[in-house]
Parts: sequence; C-alpha cells; structure tokens
Amino acid sequence: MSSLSSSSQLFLPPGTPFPINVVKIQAKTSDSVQRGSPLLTYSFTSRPSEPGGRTQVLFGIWDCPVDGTIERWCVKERDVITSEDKAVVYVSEPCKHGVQMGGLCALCGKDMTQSDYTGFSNEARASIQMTHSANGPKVSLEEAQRIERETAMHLFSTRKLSLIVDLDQTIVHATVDPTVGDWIAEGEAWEARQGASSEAESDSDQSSQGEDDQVNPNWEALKDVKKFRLSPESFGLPPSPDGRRAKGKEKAVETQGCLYYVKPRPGCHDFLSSVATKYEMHVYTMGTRAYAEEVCKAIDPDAKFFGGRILSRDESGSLTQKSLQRLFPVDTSMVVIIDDRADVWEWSPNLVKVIPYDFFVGIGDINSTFLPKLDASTSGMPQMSPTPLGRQPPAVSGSTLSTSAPGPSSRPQPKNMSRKEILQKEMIARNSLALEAQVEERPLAKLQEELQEAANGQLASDTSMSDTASGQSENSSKTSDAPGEKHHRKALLKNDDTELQRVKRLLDAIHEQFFEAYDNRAPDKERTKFVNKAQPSSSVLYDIRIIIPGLRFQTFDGLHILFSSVIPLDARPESTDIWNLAEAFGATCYTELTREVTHLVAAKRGTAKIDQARKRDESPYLMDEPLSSSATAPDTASSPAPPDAQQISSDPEPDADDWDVEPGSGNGGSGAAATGMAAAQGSGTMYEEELDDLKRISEQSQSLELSLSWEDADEELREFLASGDEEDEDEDEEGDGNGDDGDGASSKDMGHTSESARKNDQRLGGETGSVDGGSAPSSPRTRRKRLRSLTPSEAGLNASDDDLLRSPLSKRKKLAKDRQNASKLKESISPEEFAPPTVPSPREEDEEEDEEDDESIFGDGFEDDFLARELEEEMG
Amino acid sequence: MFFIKELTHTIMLHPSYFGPRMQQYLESKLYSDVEGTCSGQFGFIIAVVSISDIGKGMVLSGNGQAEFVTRYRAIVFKPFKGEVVDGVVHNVTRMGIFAEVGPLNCFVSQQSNPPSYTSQDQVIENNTKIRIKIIGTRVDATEIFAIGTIKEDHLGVIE
Repeated sequence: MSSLSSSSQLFLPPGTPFPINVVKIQAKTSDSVQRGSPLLTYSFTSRPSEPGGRTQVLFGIWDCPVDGTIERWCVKERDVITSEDKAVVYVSEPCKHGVQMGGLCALCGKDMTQSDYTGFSNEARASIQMTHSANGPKVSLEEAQRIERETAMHLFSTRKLSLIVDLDQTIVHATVDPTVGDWIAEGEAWEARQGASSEAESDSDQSSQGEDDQVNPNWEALKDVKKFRLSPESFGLPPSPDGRRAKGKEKAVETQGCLYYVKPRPGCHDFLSSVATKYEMHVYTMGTRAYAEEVCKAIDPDAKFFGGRILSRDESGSLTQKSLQRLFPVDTSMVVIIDDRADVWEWSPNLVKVIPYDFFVGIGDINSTFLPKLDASTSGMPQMSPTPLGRQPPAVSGSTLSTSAPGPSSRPQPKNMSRKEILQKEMIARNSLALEAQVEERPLAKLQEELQEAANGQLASDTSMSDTASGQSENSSKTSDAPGEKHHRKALLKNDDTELQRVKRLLDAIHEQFFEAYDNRAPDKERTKFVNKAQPSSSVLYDIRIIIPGLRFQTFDGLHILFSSVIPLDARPESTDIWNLAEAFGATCYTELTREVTHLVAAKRGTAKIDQARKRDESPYLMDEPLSSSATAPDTASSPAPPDAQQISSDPEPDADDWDVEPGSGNGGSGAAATGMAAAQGSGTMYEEELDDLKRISEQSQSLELSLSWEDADEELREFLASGDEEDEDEDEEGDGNGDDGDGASSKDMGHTSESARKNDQRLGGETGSVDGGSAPSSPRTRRKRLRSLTPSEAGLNASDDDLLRSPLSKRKKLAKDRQNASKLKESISPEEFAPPTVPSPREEDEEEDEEDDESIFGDGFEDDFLARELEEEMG
Repeated sequence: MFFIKELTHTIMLHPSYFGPRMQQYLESKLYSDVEGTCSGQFGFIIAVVSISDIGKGMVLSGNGQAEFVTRYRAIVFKPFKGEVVDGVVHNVTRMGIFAEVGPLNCFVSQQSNPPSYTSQDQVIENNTKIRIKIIGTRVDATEIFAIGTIKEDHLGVIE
C-alpha cells in the first residue's frame, strides 16, 4: 500500500511560457486540492510576434491536474522557474492510478479516459503492459517495479527462475502438410491391424496393400504427433488481397481452416517437467494466440507447466521482434530465454540459443515467414534446411513463386495506410499463403519420394567414391547420421533429437550458478538489489545477464584466434561481427600472427597467414570455418599441419558434416556457424561436445559415403538443365580462382560465399516447395545484383536491370535486402565457400552445383522481371 | 442489480415469412436477437419474461419488408458502483484476478486484495467463488466492464 500513500511530484505542463515568476501560491501545504483547483499564479513576459511590438507582462494560473493533499512546495513566491523538468510541488494522492484496466483505474474505479484543459492524462500514468494478454491491465513504472519485486521474492522463496520458452522449432515442430495426416492414418490403420489380427494375417494384410510388408517408415516417429484445426481467422487471413488466387484453394482453407500437426521435440515432456521444478515457464511465440493455446494444450494438457502464461504474436506488439521488456519491464536479471532464433531477441544476454528442431524435414518454422530471413549464418532455419533431395524439378520452385506472387504485386497500396500496417498485412498474407502452399504442395510427400528413389539409387551406387568429398554437404543430418539404418524403405522423419537434454543440462547449470551466487551474496546485498532494481546494479552477481555471458565466455576461454581472409581488408577488425562474436565467446583475437595465437581461422587455403603459420610448425592451427569448428580445436590442434590441410582438401565443408552429425541439428552446411554458437553457449557441455567431435570426424567419412549418391543425382539434374547461365558460372569460378590471392579477394569472396549460401537455400526452398516461397526467391536475386555491381564485367547486365529497379518489385527487393542485413554476421561465416576442394571430382561437383543454382535463380529472376514488366505495362 | 424492464425491439421481417407461423417466428427472432446482448443504457439483457406487444407489422414501401416494433419485458442486469456481487474467478495474474459475474467481466487488482491470494483457510485460484464489491464500471455502447475489490469485510472467497 506504500505506493498509495507516497507522494507524487507535479511538474508544470509543457506549454508553460518559461521563464515564469511565481506571483502567488494559492494552495498551502496540507491543503486538499481537486483536479482543476488553482495551485499558483505566475507572471511572464510575452514577446511580440512582430518586431517593434511592445512586450507586456501577462499573468497565468496553473491548475492542479490531480486530486490530493499538498505535501510540500519546492518553490517560493517570487521565484523564477525556467524549465519544466523540476518538480514544483509534491502532492499526496489517495490513488495514483498505478494499475488501469480498460480505461478505469483498477484501484479506485475512476474513469481514466477523461481529459480536460489541464492536459494531464491519467491514462498515460500507467502505460506498461506486462501481462500476457493483449488488453490486460496496464501499470505504471512504479507499480511494475513493485510487481517484479514481488515476483522476485516469490521466485527466490521457491528457488526458481523465470524461463521464456519459444514454441516453434524449440520444443515442438509444426507443419500443415497433409501428408503427415495420411501417414498417421496409415500408421494407425497398421496398428489396428496389428492388434486385431494374428501375425500371419497382418502380414498378408500388409502385402495386400501393395507396398512393403512394413508400416510406413515414418510411423514410429509420428506416433506422438498431435493435431488440431484452426479456423482461418485465427491465423489472421486477411480478406483475399485480390481475385487472382485460386478460388477453390482459398475456399478449402476458409471453410475448414487448416489442420496443424505438432511434433513435440523428443524428451519434451521430461524436459518440461524437470525444468518446471527450477523455472517458472512462460511461452512466447510468434504464432497466433489460437495456435499457441492449441500447442500448449498438446504439450501441456493440464496447464501445469505454463498455466496462462502464454504470449503470442497477437499480444507481442511486434511481428518481427520479441521483447523481454514486454513481460519483464523492469528487471530481467532472473529471466532465461530459450529460443531457436537469436536475432528476434536482438542477441539478448538472457538468451540460450537452441538448435532449431527440424523434424518435418524442410518445413521450417511455419510461423516465421514474416521474420527476417535467416541467412546462411543463422542456420537452422527451415527454409534452408538441408535436405538430401537436391533434385526437385524446377517447376516446383516456379509454382512456389507464383503462389507468392500476389503478395508482392499487390504492394502498391493506398498511401494513406501507414507503411507499418501495409507491412504487417503483407507479412500475414504471406504467412497464410505459405501455409496454403504447404497444404497444396505436400513437400513432405515429395521428400519421402525423393528419399525413396535415392535409397534405391544408392543401393546401386558405388561406394568406392566414399573418400572423395562431395558437394553434398547439405546432406541432411537426418540421413547422414544414420548410415546403418538405410533399409529398403527409409524413414524421412526421425526421432533422434537430443537437443533438449543439452538445453536441460544448460538450464540446470545456469540455475545452479545463479543460486550459488545468490546464496553467497553479502548479507546486505539483497536489500540494495531491490532498491536498485530499476538500474541493474552490476555489483550483484546473481544476475542472469552476467551468468549466461559468463558461461558463453568459457567456451573459447584461453583461445587466441587469428582470422585470415575472413575479415574484409577495409573493415576495422575490432568492429566486425565475427571478431565480436569470438570475443563474446571468450577468445582473444589478433590481427597479426604472433606467438600467442593458438588458432588460425581461414576462409580459404593458401593465404599469407596460413603460409606463415605453416612455417612455424609449433603453432597449431586450424583451417576451417570459424567458430563452429573452433569447438573442435583441441582435436585438431594436437595434430600437425599437413593432416589439417589434408582434411580441408578432402572435404570442402568439413564443418557442415561435422555439425550435421550432431543429432537433430539439421542445419546443414549453411547453418554451421550459428549451430556452433548455440552449442558453444553451453560451455558446460562443451567438452563433451569436443569428444563427440572426435567421433564425428571418424564418422565423417561414412557420412560422405552417403552423400555420394546425391552427386550422381545432381549430375543427372545438371545435364537435364544444362542450358545454364554461363556467365554466372564464370563468375563463380573466378571467385574460386581468386581465392588464393589472399586477403585482397576476401571481401568479394565473402559476398560470393553468402551468395552461394543463398543459392543453396533458394534451391532447397524451391525444391522442397517449402513455406518460404514469399521471400526466398527475392533475396538471392537481390544479393546477386549487389554482387554483380562489384564486378565490372557484369556492368552491362546491371544496366539493363536498372529500370526495373524503380518498380514496386525493386522496393520489395530492397526491403528484403534490408532484412538480410540484420544478420550479416552469419553471411560472413557461411561455410559453403571455405576451403575449396582440390580433389578434382568433388570440385567439379561443386561447380556443377553452382551452375544449376544459377540456372534456377536466373529462371526466377527472369520470371519476376517479367512479372514486374507486365505490372508496369498494366499501370501504364 | 437486476431489473425487470420494458423494452422495445424492432424486427424487420422478410415477406417470405408472412403467413400462419409468423407469430412464432417473430417470437423466436426476438429471443435470439435480444437475449444475451448488452446495451450500455440498460445493461445485460438476461431473459425475455414476456412479450407485451408484438407490433402491428408495417410494410415498408420500397422493399416490402414488414417492420414490427415489439415491446417486451426482460430481466436486465446492470452493475452499479458500490454493488456487491458474487463471481467466479477465471484468471489469476500478477496484476490481479479476473472474475466472471454472470455476463460481466470484473477485474480485482492485486492491491485491492488482502496481501496474498493464499492463506491458511482460503485460496484464490481458477474457479474459486468470490464476493466482490464493484468500485467502478466502464460502460460502452455494447459492453460493460467492472473493477472490483475484495478488500473489505465479508468480501472475498465464499464457500
């Protein structure tokens, strides 16, 4: 109740004509005042508006904006007040209206929406929204502090912390692909047959199905998949943007809504129930409210883990960002976040990054279509999720594109709508389009088909090529880590994710450290902490924002890293993301090769620094992809240089494979860096992982074998598509060729790197018909343009595109470009381009891949250009 | 507070309904139209008690529909400041609790509570029945919302 009785300071309103002379104070101390009763009379000098006019002294009255009792005046009569930022009078109010609900003060029941001539808005006094619901009560800062203090007390007394849990790809994976439903039905039917009939009968039953005498291979993993239906309003489907959408499709979605399939991450229930003893959990998801509630119902049927603490994008206030302040406006020192995306949290120190869960291969996060695209770097995003199925006919990518086309082309909208609104609408439209596309195209069915074909192909394929590296590093973790399981009928969906166990260990460690620090605090610290809640006092050690970065720091602690051809020459090394990232993880970075350097991180072979390092062979070094591979450092460090080089030459993307083997990482080459980081965050577990790395390296050769069949596949496809864009290929080769020139080429090379990463991404996105149709096609193109402008030889091409750049389409591209900039870091360390292989055959493979990538991209670009031109013509 | 109030409601009837069962149709239409609605002026219309006059049925020139101005008596519920009501808790947050008083949604701030939701003899959680004193109402055209308190004698959890 103290907040009720404590006095509030009153300030002069902003419109006061300063400086003013206090003429008379009209309410004495301990007088009671009402809103509107005069407090003081002042005089001021009015300046004439036109020159030559007379200045005159005018008088004004300041009326009290609140009810209460005057406690103390800070000014005397005849004082001069020059600014509005000093409190003039203290008034003790019967109610400070610190909690407001629906325009009413929740404490005294007064209407807060009235406004009068005093210009003092009671509503503005409580502006912080800190409940999970969208129109729940709002509180003032003071009240928020009080509530958080109480929360903290409560948490301390139960020895818990707060944990914010993301849903999609963190603890569940969801899809709308109806194939899953079919498979489940198939599996259930099989179960029923198994149960009902004798074995012999069931055998014959199955064979009568005309397939193998086995159940659907994915059934095992699909057993715990939950499904629910959401009506279209609940995913915010706006009224059809234009008539161009296929009516039938729209209708189907409109009438019955969408059937969602949700797969809890393996160990999800154990994870939640064990974490629930140490954390108070909140859900914060980018899905809609209805979606979030359904998913929570599926994973937490009794609502005992999350209760009502669910925050969805409907309440979040932003479609692209998550904000810790939304739930914990004042004190975030006891909050841990687990999420598969760090960018939406702006790399908050409270975040424990989780390797994205990619169960429904290639589906990605169905609720993130409007999030900024993850670049190669960030990994894990579904869109670029590594699938072994490099052979989808280009037609699919075309159709994805055309589905999403209405979004961009309906872009020119009435200007009176705010830009933000348009953006949001577009995002939501794109999301629902993507969902529809997924329903239509059944990417999983296609993948399974491909997998099947591939498996058959592989039986025939020669294993002698196993020691050659392949360009197929995007071979999915799911397939590559289970070489022994290649049965005749292979399962696309696997139940082999162990990420939650790792996260649980991490959370336990964090909890332990926090309360250890808390228990060891100086006895009087507790008080100061609560007093200083508003400004986080760095003296307090039990602060998550110290503990998590601390854990992170241990990862590379004691490592001394030198970058070679990773950082562009024109950039200040200290300001680059990669540098900062490495330092954030505890490494010390250098610009020159010195005695201290323990690890050399190079983007390609043969740079000056590598040569230099090789000369002093006592310096262990590592030519590899930065950061993620550094985790493997202890292994490689001990081995002499030549084997290292060997490793690189035999495997173009060692890390991709490395990390792919990590169960459930599903990141593929492009995601390795971020994966590494995610893994690295759990320094507590780092050493285990290093051990794993040893195993992985030995497994690597096996996984390479697996990828070989894909080489064949790609070869075929390449021939099929052989009409490629030669110029582009040249361009690529040139990039590779320049690789050896050292740092000079690096900036370009990095652009190239990211481009090719994008290409792979794009290719995969297209092939799998995945949800990202809306934005994926645009981003690679943008990048291409940027890249081209770097190379004079391409100038001609650029010019021809110039007029198109003024079209609405180009605006969208620009937008896409901006978004990508968000995660530049990732681009720079995408693994695709590191260490070009020297063994001829894989090298060839690589180029061929590039070629076909270019092909498909060119196709897209062409199609889009065509659309834009058409649009321009229409608009005349 | 509950009132029995005489109200009117205008029904437009399409010509296809003109006929022997028109009366029943008008009645059921009236029930479905007004029961469960809320008007800022009268409060929540809980139930129609009786229909005093179904109306004459004036055919409108131009579109052929008949306009019936029905007069009926209904039980209405309108919350007032200072009224004590019983409700069921349906959500508990850090800020306070939300209770449903029949059709009325009522928020009780945590500061209008005794210091804790939990004591030896009583716990406030979902589905707890509590007695609330209304300290403020917000009346919109089609919605009423109330703020309550349980920080007074004889308020709070009821058995």
